[in-house]
Amino acid sequence: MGTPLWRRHPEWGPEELWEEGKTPGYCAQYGQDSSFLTPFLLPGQGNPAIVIFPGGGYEIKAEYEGLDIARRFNDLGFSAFVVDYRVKPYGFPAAQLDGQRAVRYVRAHAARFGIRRDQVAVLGFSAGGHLAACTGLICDPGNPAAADPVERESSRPDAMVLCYAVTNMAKFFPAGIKRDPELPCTDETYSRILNPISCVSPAAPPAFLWHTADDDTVDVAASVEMFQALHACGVTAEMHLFAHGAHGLGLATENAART
Amino acid sequence: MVNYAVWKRYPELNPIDLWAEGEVPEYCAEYGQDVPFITPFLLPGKDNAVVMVIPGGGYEAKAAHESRNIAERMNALGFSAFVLDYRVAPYPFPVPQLDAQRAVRYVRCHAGEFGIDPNKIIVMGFSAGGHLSASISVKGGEGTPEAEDPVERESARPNAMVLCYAVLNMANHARQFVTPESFLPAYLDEYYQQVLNPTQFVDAHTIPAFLWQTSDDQMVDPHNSLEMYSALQKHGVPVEMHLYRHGHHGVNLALELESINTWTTLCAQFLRQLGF
Repeated sequence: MGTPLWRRHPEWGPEELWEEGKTPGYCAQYGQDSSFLTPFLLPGQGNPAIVIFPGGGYEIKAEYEGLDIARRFNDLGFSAFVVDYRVKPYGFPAAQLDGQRAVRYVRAHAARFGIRRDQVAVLGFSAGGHLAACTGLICDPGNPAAADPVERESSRPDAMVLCYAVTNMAKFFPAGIKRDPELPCTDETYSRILNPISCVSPAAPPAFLWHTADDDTVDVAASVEMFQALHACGVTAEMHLFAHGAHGLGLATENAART
Repeated sequence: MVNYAVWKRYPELNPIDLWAEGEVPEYCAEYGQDVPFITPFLLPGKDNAVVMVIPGGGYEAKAAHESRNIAERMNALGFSAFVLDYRVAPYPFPVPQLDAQRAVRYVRCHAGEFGIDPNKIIVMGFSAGGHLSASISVKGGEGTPEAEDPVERESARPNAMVLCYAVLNMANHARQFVTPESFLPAYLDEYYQQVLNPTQFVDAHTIPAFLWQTSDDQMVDPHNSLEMYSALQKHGVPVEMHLYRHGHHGVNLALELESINTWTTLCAQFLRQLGF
């Protein structure tokens, strides 16, 4: 595989999502880095924030769906955070815990990051889009009594951007992921993770979706069905389905319209 | 009566009647409507792609805000254009379809004279005009090779369709716009079904399509476009669709609406990528 993979760049100031030793379900044998995020901050205060989940089928994380996106959104006036979430052989809900934690973390540190707590969007590509959808649709308002201030924050993003996203694992990415043996998770939660479309309600965050009609990795119906569910619940949604383009376009800079 | 300006005949724009005088099929003078005609907005040169603009208006009138302005914008993007004046209520289906098909045949027949490529005819319809575009585009429309009238020898099938906040399933709206009448027994039942619900007749040979509308359109639910989109995509027909977050029904060029005003550029790109 020739795609450069997302990895930790110490020079960019990555921050751990959990204190050392406290990552739920962490398994050193899997040889993965602990979950962290890398901030790409605009100067000043009150900036909107985008929390980015690169794609890679829950096996890897593609760098071009992280770094390049962060820089592009900086140009567009957003601070950005690229999240290193756990992938195989971790099962669900490891990645989902990382996703929720990332939103809470960014909110908890909003003042230091110079961002607005009420303008935290999530954005994900492909499997990262599945994770963005889970983060957007399976959320909680936080625990005000938690000892850890991060856990007091809501995990619900203010918007979600789904790029050629897997919105229903069973239907659009059956190779999927199994349950993680170390992380307790009810059957109900697990089925919600497998099918984020089933979690759509009027409380869902506004959504921007895009996809290409001839994507042969994730069928465009994944976006169509998510849009339909959101629209049926009266949730603000925008969707752009381009005629032609392989799966994994990222910024799609060869086609100005898509960018 | 409608509460918006309507498109009509402007002699200074050199409109072209689609049929010779007295030969308009199903014409009924009592309805007080003009004969069907097209108004040209032609670019110089030869082999230009051409957009047939079909204004909306609920099959009650033709909206001026979906007419000349659209044609001139498409000119700026490098396409010749015509605006179609078609018959509306109380003419029943499929009379508007006869007019739209005649327009495509006419333009194809006179392609050389108009400096256009007869294989690059795009219909672009808004709202009810989008329904009209789809109803003549999904299938059928073959020409009659032995016809005396050379226009009738041409196919009435466009080469691409652009559906702008289009009503597409008229079965739910039929009573509202046009009441079917039994005085047209000459028309085949299947064709009438195609007119009522073009989406059901999409197949692998349906022409490429570009669809767009706003998600919160109160008059036409995006369900219309979503169903058509899914049918086209499943059959492998080249299709693109843009559902913008917010905007009222009838935004046409959306010149002052940030984001929605990208649609004509995206549409032109889509068409160019297909060879138009």
